[in-house]
Amino acid sequence: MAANTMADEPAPVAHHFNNMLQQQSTVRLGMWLFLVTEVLFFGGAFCAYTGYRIWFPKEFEAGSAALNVGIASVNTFLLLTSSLTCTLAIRSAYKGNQFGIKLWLLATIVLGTVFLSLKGREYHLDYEEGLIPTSKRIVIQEEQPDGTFISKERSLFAENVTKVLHKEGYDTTGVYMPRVQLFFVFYYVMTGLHVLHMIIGIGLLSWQLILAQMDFFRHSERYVYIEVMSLYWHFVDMVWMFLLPLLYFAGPHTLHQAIEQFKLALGIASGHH
Amino acid sequence: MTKVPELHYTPQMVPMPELPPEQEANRLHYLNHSYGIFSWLLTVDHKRIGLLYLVSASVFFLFGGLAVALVRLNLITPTGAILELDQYNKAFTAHGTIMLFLFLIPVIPGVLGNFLVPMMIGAKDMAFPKLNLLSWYVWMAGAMFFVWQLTVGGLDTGWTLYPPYSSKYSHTNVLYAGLGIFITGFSSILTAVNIIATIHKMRCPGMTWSRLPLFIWAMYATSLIQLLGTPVIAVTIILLATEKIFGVGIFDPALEGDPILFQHMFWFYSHPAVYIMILPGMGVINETITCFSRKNIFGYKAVAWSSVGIAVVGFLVWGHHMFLAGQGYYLGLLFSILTMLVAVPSAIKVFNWSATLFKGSISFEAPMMYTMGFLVLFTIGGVTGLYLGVLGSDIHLHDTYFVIAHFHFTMVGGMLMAWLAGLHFWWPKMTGKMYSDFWSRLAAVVAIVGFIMTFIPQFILGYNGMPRRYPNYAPEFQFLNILSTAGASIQGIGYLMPLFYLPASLFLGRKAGGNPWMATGLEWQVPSPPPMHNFDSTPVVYFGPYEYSMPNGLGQLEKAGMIFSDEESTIAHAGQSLPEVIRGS
Amino acid sequence: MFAAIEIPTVPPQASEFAATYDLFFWYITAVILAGAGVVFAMLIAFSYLYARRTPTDRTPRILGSTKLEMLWTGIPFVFFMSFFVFGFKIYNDQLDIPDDAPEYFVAGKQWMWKMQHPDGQREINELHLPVCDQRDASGKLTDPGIKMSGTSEDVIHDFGIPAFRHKFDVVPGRTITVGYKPTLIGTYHIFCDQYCGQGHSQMVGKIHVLSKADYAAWKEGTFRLPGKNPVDGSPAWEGRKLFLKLQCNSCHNNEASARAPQLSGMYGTNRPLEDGKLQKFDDEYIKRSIRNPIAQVAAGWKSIMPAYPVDKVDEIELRNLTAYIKSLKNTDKLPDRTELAPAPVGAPVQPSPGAAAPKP
Repeated sequence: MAANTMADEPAPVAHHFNNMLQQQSTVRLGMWLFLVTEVLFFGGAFCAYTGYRIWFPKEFEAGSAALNVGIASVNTFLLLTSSLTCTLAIRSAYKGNQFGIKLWLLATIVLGTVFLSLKGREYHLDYEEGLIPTSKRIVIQEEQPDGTFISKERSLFAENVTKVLHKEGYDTTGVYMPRVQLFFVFYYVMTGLHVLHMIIGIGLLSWQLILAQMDFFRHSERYVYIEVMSLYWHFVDMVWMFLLPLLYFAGPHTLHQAIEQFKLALGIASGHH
Repeated sequence: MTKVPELHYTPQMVPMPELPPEQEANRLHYLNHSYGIFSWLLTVDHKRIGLLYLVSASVFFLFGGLAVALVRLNLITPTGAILELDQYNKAFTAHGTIMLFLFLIPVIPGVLGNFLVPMMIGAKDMAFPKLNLLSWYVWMAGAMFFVWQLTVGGLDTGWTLYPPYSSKYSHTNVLYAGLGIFITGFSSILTAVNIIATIHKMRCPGMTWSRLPLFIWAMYATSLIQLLGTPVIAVTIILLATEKIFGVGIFDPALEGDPILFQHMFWFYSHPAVYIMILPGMGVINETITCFSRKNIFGYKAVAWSSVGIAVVGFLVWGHHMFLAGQGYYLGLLFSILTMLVAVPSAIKVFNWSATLFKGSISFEAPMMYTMGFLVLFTIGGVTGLYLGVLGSDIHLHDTYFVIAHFHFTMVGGMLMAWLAGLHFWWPKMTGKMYSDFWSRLAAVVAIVGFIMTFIPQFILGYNGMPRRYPNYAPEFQFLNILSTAGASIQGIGYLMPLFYLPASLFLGRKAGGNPWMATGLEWQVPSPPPMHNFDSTPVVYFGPYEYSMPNGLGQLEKAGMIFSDEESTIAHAGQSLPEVIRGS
Repeated sequence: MFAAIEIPTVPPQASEFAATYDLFFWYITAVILAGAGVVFAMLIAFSYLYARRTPTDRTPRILGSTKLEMLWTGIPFVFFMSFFVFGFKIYNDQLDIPDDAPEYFVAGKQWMWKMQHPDGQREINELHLPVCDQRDASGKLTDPGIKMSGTSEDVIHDFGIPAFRHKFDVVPGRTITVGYKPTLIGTYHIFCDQYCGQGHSQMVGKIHVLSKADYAAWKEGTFRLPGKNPVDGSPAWEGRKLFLKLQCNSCHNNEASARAPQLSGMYGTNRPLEDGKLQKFDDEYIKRSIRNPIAQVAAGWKSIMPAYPVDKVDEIELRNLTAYIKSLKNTDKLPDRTELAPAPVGAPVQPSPGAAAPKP
């Protein structure tokens, strides 16, 4: 209630701008320009991924089938919701509602953090299943029809991913397993870059929360800073909306699998192993 | 085309009213506004940041020059005169990477762009002054880290970093060097964002797009390319690093990868990168050629749009570096046609510049000598690119000294000459002092003569098949190599000379005054060195940027009844309150 | 001093493509010299004519000319397109490799070139090729030329032959095929044209284009280049090295106590076998004698020679041994029993004076 009266005096304009309109408009343009670079950044990785996916469709399908789509689905819901909360923060700032700013910024931060924790859990599960790309090779004993064993050298990663796929009930005939590693390299690089951007985003959101606490946004003209922050956050969300189908939906998944995989994330092993 | 009648009155610029000496000595400007190391290291003044870039870029230029001195000295004998094979490979890689990433790409945007863009459009500073300073720090961090990597272990992959050599076979600091390049690239993205936002949002009233100095158009086009291209090299380096660190096969054919994919991704940035390097140089040439022939630029629209054309089409031709790499028949065809297309805007510019000289009043101070050098040498560089852009002729010339000669003609004969032209043109504005006319002209001649002697033999070497990056070569190439090294020494002297007379001018040079060249342009309407906030009151612009054939100053125009307003004569953008107007005397 | 200065101007035109290439190169050169000449002429003329005379010179306010813009956009564009069309044509033509052209193979490896001829002979850093000189009535070359396929064993290299005006990248994981039609006898450079590490500049070699007769002689191992290694790299030479490495000369030598027959001058003759039949001493016989000697022992000799199956002597090595044995003339001497190490590369195969006549 005191919030609105604090917004009576106009916000000071930076020394090199002529008026607040120019300042706001420039800040917005600056963020859009930066987002263009981010599009090209992720776009480069997407193009490389697409090239390989066109050449090796079977292997990429198999790789995707080995991913934990349960966690991914929940994460998508969290991230989309966080975009909503971020937009609500803009509205609060525009109206001068200081409590609203802090509430919605905090909500965005919390949702983003839960996303990251689930993602971390997903990486941990991948690690446990041995799905980390490596150049290590192992020697396995292959049983011959006549009952004897011969030693064969295989890629460790290929062995691990074959195990995972068979557990999911995926038919791996005709799939050249060492190539599936290529899919996983892109999976880690692309989701890893996304995670990095989310961490930076959460950091910036936290900084804005601190600023809000310091009454920085008492001038409602300063809503533009929340707006550009939310532009960045929406962008991170958009990247995820591209990553999701590219990585997770290339291969087949069922709802049952998704639920089981999510339970795994929560540590509720339902006798899956 | 509307015919404009010849206007018969003296085109003398109305000189800035200079303050009387006692007041001038006490005048506060951006250099003496505050003292102390932190006032420089924590400055957000775009002019001081420009000088920070000037010092650091010059230092890196010297490092790059030292590297090539080692290279060319080694090439005096066919078996390598002074370096081992590994050392040579590190030396040429150092030369290439330092010159490209730490000099050619950042120097004009960082020094002249930072200093002049706000002033030329009538603004008080860049759109994001603090981001500007951050840009410099990020660049310095990346650059110093990079140079350190080159010194403590070196990089021997060539600046092109091709895998599988760089990811699997090289024992040098590929990762850390890649990190250095990544960081400097980030800085150039921040600078580009700043420049584009500034040009869009901070133009003074009356400064419509068609009244912008062509240097601004060039900086705009450059920043567009930086914005779009640099992120791709960033993600390419990340993929290469992943391959190297984790031993996986993104580009390694032994592990299901494709080395040609790296080349596509690398050149997608690196070809537009060469336009990032040359466009600012072309921007400078627009300014110097109009000033030193005292004429309007011939074909303003053509030159402005050709900058944008180069930026756009420049993104479509990267495959001409890969004609022989096995990229595919149809791709080669496509890239070859597009390369012929991208050559056209540069040709248009050269013709327009030459036509600007027609019926002008030409004087040959140092900036103009460098400009003429640019025109001759860049033309040669540009036309020799045609051999390389055509499928049939590239087969023989690919990866030979012909390519080296071509890109040095455009980068050194073009860009470096333009940089020196710009440095000499705006030095009096930046420092308030004028340098020695004799020594500057001499340095220009020495540099240009040395340059020609260095690189013409390399065309012959390339046509005869001498490959690039060879520390040893077939004995019949020796004479031309010696000639080239001799030329390089002369050239080096030409580049070292400004290191003496330019700093000397700070102490011994005469005061330059606000407009020593009698140039048009808003930056020349303020005293030298400029005041802290550039303009005491917001300028208003009523006519185009190169009205040399007409007197300057609003008062004269009004008197002559000749206020020309172009198509858009109104205030530039929304939200502007009507400012005061500068009146000429 | 000046007499010794060598300024290479144009590399030899050693292939059919080289001739067309040079024509195209000089066409581009002529056009761009003309274009650049126009620009330079303008610069020089205007600099002279319009040099500043007074500080207050008048200049006309010329803004531009759409006509001129169209002219100097259109004319360069037309010429650039002519470059593209002409260049594309010659590029296409050299991609047109007849199917019946013999296929050679090159593998680049840090830091050497390994070549293989169609019939298996191998060379390192050298390649001997037959010249294409068959022309029809109109002078057009009717030789199919040769096909060259290349790959790399490690990093990207580039197989470049300036005299042919040709090069192509050899990429690991891929094989690229090109074609040459060498038309000039001589020796030319091979350069590696893609940076590949420390030894990039050492990865050079020589192409020897020989007349068809000389090429056949080279394959026989009898060809001698003046002043150079007579047979180095030839199949017969490789065969001799292998002969010594496998210590065939411990039995097949010149001494009176030799345990195996003389091989010099045997090729083409008829030799009596153990069972009295006459056997033609030909390629097949040599092959069988190495693979399975006890099947046909020469008359008067014990059956003591061990067999050399494919894992001891592979097919290419077999061909090389055959070539060596074929090349031995009556006057040529087999290596002594004590000659264990292969002779240094380039050492000619000289018959020693007073060589023992081959034992019957």
